[in-house]
Amino acid sequence: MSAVVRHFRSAIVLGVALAGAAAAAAAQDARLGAQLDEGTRVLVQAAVDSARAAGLPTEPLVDKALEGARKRADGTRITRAVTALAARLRASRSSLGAGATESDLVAGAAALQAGVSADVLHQLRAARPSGALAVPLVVLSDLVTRGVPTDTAAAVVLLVAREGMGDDAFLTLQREVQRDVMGGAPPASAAAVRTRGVLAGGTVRRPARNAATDATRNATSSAKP
Amino acid sequence: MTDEEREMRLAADVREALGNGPPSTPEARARVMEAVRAAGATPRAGASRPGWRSPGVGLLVAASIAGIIALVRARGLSYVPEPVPGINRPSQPVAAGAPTPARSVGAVSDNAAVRVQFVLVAPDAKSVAVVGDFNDWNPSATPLESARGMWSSEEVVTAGRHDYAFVIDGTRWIADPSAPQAPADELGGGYSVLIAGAKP
Amino acid sequence: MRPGLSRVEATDAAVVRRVLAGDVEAFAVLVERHHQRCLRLAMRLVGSAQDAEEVVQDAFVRAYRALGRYEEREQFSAWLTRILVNRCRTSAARSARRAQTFVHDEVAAGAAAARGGADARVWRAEIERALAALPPEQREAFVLKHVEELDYDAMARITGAGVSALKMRVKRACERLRVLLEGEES
Repeated sequence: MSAVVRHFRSAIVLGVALAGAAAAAAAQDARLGAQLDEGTRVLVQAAVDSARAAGLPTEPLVDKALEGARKRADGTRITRAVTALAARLRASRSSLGAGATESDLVAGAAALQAGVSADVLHQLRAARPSGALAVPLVVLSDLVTRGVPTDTAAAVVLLVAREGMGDDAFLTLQREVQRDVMGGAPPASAAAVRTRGVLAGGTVRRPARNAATDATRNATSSAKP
Repeated sequence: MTDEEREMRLAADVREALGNGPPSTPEARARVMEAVRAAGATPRAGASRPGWRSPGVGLLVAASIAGIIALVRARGLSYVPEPVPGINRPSQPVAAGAPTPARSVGAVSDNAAVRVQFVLVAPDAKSVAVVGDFNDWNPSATPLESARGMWSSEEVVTAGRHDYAFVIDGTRWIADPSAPQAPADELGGGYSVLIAGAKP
Repeated sequence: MRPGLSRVEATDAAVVRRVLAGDVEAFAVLVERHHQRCLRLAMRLVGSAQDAEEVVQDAFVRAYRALGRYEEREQFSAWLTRILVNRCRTSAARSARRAQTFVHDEVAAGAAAARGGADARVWRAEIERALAALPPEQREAFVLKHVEELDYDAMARITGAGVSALKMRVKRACERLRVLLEGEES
């Protein structure tokens, strides 16, 4: 966008009650300008503007570009990360609905990035029709990232959601699976066991070695760390 | 020509045509190592034995440290635990608890401000900072303060989901070992997630 | 060069032990040894050099995180390949770029052309397209068998499929490729 157009646009927008949004956009502009080379900045700005026009949150996109700049990634990589995130935000909104908060959308985008399907997001929304979904989605992404197979992770998270359990149940599940996996347990088994515990309303004791060894044998034969 | 001979010929043609794939450059390998360093604490040996293991001493102590800190926060004390010898090894920072957000009064909308505390046990670090979407990933913006190797800082962030990481000695980016993980994306990354305003 | 770890002499298993003892930088030795091979395999499975580099980087990071679970009786290269093949599958499933739209690798095609003239460039494009047209399982089996030149036992360990299923996939892949490349019915 040329400086003239930018200037013209700013002049009009400032005169209107949208001054707040314009100030935010201008601030984003300045942050990008401070960290990115001009070529990359133009491309990223275009992605940000396009997202804004589509009613998608723009701050996550700016943050992503700044993250890339701080990690000294090259311009191509940064641009790709931003446009890919924009696409995931869009897909996230398709599945989670127009009422989803920014946190919900970003959490949904992360879940999609982790390999969770859009349909699972849709089902999660159906399981919790109103209210925030950020925590279940964060926990879902965490489980998958730690090695729980996508379908297993989706199944347990949906199960907990359909039981009407609150965010603390999900956070407990995440903490316990994390501890188990760090201790060497197969992620899929840990997820299953700890979900049972959360649904039962208490902490399940670790299973006897025999049952766990069987589960391990099954899990490691396909061996996907 | 037999089937097998034909198969061999086809295979040889394909191999020759495809060559060796994109070249492995020093830059690409350096990017791999950058991502590896950012992936967090050195993996622990011996996790390969099948079945459930009893928690290693390291895990037990980390858990007790987290327990102590939770207790401290609940009672508003300013106790600082002694570093445990043999546990906090150099270049193996252990998070002593995920950031614990304070409860906000009333419903927490996505714009409410929430006080959170970042904590990392890293006795051999010369500096630790937290970077995230709340400070433009700027390693200079939010340094943590050290009390005998336990680094911490209290910050105010907007309620909701945040990506973050710790930066050790200005260059080494690591995830928070005790927080939920974010998946890696086009930038590599894959650090930690904080949900401010959620119950711990 | 770090003391105690000679790049020429240390086996992969020894390097792994070193990393597990706390020496993150030693992992670079494994990267150096296996990066090119991984790139080659990833390229065959995901179809574009950019995706290949990303998926290989992802595989190395996962391998690093899971290093505590590596068992020395298995070759590190095979273990790493297993992780990589898995990442390639996930990447292919996630990517909007399906088999029909493999990105033509212009750089590599140029290299092929330099080696063998303009015909080589066309031939390479044909092969890429034909490979891309295979169902993912057949492509994977064909690449592992005939490009990576693994034996069926190693392939079984890497993919989790049985040897007879793999043989069938390779056979079907060859038949399909022949039809696509030579325009002949077997």
